Amino acid sequence: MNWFDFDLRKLFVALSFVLIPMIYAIVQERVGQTPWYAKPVSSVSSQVVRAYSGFSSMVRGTTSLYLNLIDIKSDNRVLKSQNAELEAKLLQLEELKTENDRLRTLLNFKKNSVMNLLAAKVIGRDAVPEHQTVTLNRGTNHGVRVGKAVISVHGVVGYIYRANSFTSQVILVVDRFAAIDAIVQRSRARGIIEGRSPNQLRLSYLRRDDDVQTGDLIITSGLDGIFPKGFPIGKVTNVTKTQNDVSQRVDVEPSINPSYLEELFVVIESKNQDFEPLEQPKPQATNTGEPGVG
Amino acid sequence: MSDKNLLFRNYLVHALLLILLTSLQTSFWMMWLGSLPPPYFWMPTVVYFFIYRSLRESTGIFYFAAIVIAAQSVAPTGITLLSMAMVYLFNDGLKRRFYWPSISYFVFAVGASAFLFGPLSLLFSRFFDSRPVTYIPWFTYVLSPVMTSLSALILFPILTWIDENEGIERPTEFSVEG
Repeated sequence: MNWFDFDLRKLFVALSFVLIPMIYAIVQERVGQTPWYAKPVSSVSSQVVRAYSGFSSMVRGTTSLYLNLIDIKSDNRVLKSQNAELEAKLLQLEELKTENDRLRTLLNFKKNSVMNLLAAKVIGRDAVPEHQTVTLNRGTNHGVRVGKAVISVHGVVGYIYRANSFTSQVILVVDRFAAIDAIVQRSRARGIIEGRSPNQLRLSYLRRDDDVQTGDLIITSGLDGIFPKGFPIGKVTNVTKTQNDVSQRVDVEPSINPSYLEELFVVIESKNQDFEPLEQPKPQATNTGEPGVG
Repeated sequence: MSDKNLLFRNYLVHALLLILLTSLQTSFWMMWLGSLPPPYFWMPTVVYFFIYRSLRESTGIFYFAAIVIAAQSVAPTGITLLSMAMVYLFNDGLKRRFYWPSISYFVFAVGASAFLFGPLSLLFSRFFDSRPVTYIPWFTYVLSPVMTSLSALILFPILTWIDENEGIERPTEFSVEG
């Protein structure tokens, strides 16, 4: 038998298609770690995402300018029907008022906070649909570092897991790889918040006799070294205790809606500032951030 | 320019296109269409290589695509690699049994590959992930492949145009009525 008489093609297929991917999947890299061979691609991708963001803003600007010109033209026509013009203006005013309210809330939030916050705009999302991450238009050049907390006026958004020069990526609290040390605000029972789906979190590692009730507010414990203590994470929607379980299952509704994230804050320096959560309604189609971050 | 240089340039152009298309999916799409599930814009390039290029070139492109996706996702690279390897094997089998020289075959293969990719990632996540998938985005799993197929229709002429400009033989189906 000739031991060297084997099919090289088959060996190549077995290695490339089965062995290497399987070894890679088993010996999983840590979340957020960019391997050396991926760094150039990551850097180029980051620049492309940034370019798309710039181009998008430019196109939006030009489009709105063009639309404004059309508006002027149509305004002349509208003079004939004053009623329609007034209605259009009223709508526009209402929209401006909504925007104004949103921006005022955000400005107040930043002004009233002792923490050093960096406003950032969401410019991208995860390439894989089962994951919940966003790309921000701020990177290491702006002071962003891996592990920094990301918040909005409504509460915890996530934390930075990868930072490039001009962009950074945030793993949202709702992603299954996210884990945040948390406490129940009312009873101070401590557990770990884990992402389940875009609208569900789970508070794990609680003891069976820990006091948790539906409607309880879950806040950051400050013990993970990422978030200062007291940021709202979400509200308990369901508590289940099975007979033989040593723990209990606590479902939590996140205080953020991942579909509507637009502008956020990166906590550059928390200055040991604890956060007193404000009771706010869950965001609907509102933005969360500050103007002029693009 | 020598054949080797032309081929290298061709790989470089395809690699850049892959980065541009992936960023189009993760960034540009979101900015204009919000939370509407995007197509897997990178899929047509990968499937194009699977169908019309050699085994070695196909391997190269799926490893590169996995790195590009890893740069814009928190998804484990190993799971992405495994899913793509399976998509390659699926395409290989499909080509052996059902291949017909038409652009419609390319669109069909891209759509089928996109349909497979999501469930495959789920399956491998169950086996290899420290925290397996807890949420299945059904709507995205159905809508994205449909839109990926449509994007293949637009991208096929671009991919063949790149190859033609780099002196690489065009797939025959470009001239065949689809």
